[in-house]
Amino acid sequence: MVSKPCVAMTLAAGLLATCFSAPAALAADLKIGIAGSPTSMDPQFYVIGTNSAMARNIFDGLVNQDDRQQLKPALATEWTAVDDTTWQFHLREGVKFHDGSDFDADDVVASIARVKLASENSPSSFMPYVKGITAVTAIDPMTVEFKTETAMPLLPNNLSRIAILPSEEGETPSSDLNTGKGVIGTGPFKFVSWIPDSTIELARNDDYWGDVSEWDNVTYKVFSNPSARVASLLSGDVDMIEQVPPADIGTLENKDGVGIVSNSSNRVMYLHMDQDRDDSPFAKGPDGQNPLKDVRVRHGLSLAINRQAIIDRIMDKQGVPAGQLVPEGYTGYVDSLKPDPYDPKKAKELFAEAGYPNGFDLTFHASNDRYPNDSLVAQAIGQMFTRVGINTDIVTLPKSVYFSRASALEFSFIMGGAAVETGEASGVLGPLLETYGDNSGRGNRGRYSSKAFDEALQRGRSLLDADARDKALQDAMKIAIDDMGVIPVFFLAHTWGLENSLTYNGRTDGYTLAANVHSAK
Amino acid sequence: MTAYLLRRGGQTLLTLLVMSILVFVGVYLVGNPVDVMISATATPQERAELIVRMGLDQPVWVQYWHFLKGALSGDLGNSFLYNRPALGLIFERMPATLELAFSALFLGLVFGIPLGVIAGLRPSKPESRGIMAFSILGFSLPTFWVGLMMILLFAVKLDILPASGRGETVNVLGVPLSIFTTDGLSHIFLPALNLALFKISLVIRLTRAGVSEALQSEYVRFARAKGVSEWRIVFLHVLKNTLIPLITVVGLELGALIAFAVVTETIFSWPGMGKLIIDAITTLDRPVILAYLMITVLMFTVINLIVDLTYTLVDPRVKIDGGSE
Repeated sequence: MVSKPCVAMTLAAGLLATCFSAPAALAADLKIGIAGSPTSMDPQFYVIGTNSAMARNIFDGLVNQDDRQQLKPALATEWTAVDDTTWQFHLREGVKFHDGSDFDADDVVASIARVKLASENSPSSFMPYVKGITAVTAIDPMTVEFKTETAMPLLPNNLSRIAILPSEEGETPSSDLNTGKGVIGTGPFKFVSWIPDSTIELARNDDYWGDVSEWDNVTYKVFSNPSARVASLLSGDVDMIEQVPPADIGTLENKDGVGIVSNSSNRVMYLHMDQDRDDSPFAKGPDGQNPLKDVRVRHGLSLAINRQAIIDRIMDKQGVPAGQLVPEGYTGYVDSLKPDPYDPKKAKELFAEAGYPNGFDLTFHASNDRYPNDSLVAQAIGQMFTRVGINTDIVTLPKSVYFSRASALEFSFIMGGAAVETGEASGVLGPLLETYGDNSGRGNRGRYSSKAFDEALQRGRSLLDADARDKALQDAMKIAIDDMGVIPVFFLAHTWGLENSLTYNGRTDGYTLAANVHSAK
Repeated sequence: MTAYLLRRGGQTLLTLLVMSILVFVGVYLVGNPVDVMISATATPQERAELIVRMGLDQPVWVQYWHFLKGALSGDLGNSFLYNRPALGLIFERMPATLELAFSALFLGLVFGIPLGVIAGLRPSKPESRGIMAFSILGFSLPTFWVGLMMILLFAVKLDILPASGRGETVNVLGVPLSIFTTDGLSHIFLPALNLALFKISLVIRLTRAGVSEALQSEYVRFARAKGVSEWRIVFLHVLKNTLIPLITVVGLELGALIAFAVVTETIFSWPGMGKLIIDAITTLDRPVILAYLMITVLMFTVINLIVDLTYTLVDPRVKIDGGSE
């Protein structure tokens, strides 16, 4: 039926093209509803999920992270550690930037050097990822050599976070790239336009070195309100959304024409306990002492939590119980560490053993606007503690107040969430559990400290051999969980809602990358 | 008149100064932005450097002095998150918010006044009761819920209007506006109506009260006795006298519409200033919070001034030079 009028118009040659191209153009445009707006188009300005996810559409690193955050070759095809402090990266031939210029070693050198420049005025810069690199040199146009201060087995992981720009932009400050003007990468999409808090438009890079995307044009729209995000998917304003709120998952699953993709994320929700002070402000036994210093009490608390119930009832099944701090498949994951079962009887026994047969007083502080359902999860955990005889109060605070006060150690028992952005365990073990000091354990708000743990972690950071490193990080993980330095509760899930005509392989980092969206066959 | 304007200008400056001190101290007390923004893996040196770079290592009064110096030269500081001037960020989003606020105000007046007049003239008729029932709903239903219901009805079920975002814009004197394109109009209708619902109800109530009060007055009875036509009585004598309280309230409400359209903006993903301030508050992006509140205060004082000047146009008894206050 449709083709007939077209045939009739063959005389009008111009119209013929319209007849065929119109449906094709419709099919190859993709609209995605995202939860937060990037704050800058400079990929090296600010370490925050919204910015990094958008940058992945436009830029590549020397190394990229796959769906499960494991490393895969990108602008570098292979890399080798020449000796303890030297790495060589062999670059991919024939890669072109969006402006048509060729990619070579000079671009890498300039991009790494630019991180320092882009860190000016950055609220959280990329400097930690290039720290320890003493020199970057182009040996030939297709080989780059990195010299490091000490052995840095994680250099490739760190470099997967650094976007590569053309060398001409090595001196361009982020105040220039911020608005998107002159943003040129090698990624699957080219930057077209950006209205902050509203829309980002991208166009396909036909010369992409990897799989060329099937989408001609991609529009990202920002919907910070979860219900509005769901409504825009249902009304067809967008084809796909990220971060489906738990309450709406059932609605989308039961609706014709749309579906849900969900997978475990790299963000673990954990409980930090004051293990330093004898007199802790919000944890007091009958004798006034801090019960959280006793390892039996910490294990008891973990056993008192019904993880599956929290996931089923509060998170609408969007989560996975956690018995350690990284999800399966990550370097440092220990097969034998299972999530603690729900065992209130055992918990009470442990409390009694530790000298608290009648429990103790605890005030549990948590954020209420940082993680999905964070205040509800805290309330549920508080009730579970009360059930095993601990007199628990819950206080939830907005993140703008909560994190400052938690860092100042004003609390005794807190909840947090940590994402492993480098794809291996030291990225979470270090900040959360290493002995607090000038250069270590910066997020260790419980002040857990163990010599054996620190040594194992340090080994894991310095061994170049992948298996040996995995083993060392596993040792560190086992020590931390044996001591119950933090209580892992569950891994958050990432959930996408999309039309049935599309497929998306979820990602542990939660990024919504247009190049990975395909039309269903 | 000039003396009056000068005096008002002086008062505005004083208000701005007091406001800036209050906001500065308030934001300072809430928490340290570095703790919210920096990644968990940052070292103490990086943290310390960041604090120095943002000037947060200085005592609060030194920080305030820097802010004041900058403000006097028109620089309210750079946003921490966007690394761009805070004022620029706000002005970029201002057209969208102003457009939404004025559209809502327009709807409020266009629907509110006639309905209010009807309800005031014939209070016991069923249509008047209907109007008043509607106004009660308009007052009491929460904006976010009505917004979501509107999306559900018009965008999801009926599929006749877009659910969110701002439509195509055209540049009018360099300002991107969407009310001059059909796509833009279809996008603005729902959020504007959502925002207007409360205003319509308010205008209905004010107009009705004014009309029924004016109907009792001596001059209306006299006009009736004189045989002046009902139409002329209502539209000339009654309506004009109900306008004074209406102008006061509508002026203030316009300020509120502009400054606090945030709920509607969030639900309809309208790229206005409201979303900016909410993000700034949750991330403690101090320069943006400060600049936003300064602009809001300035806006309120300017609107109040315009309201006062409008009185003289509507009511010749009001004189602005000194005496009539």
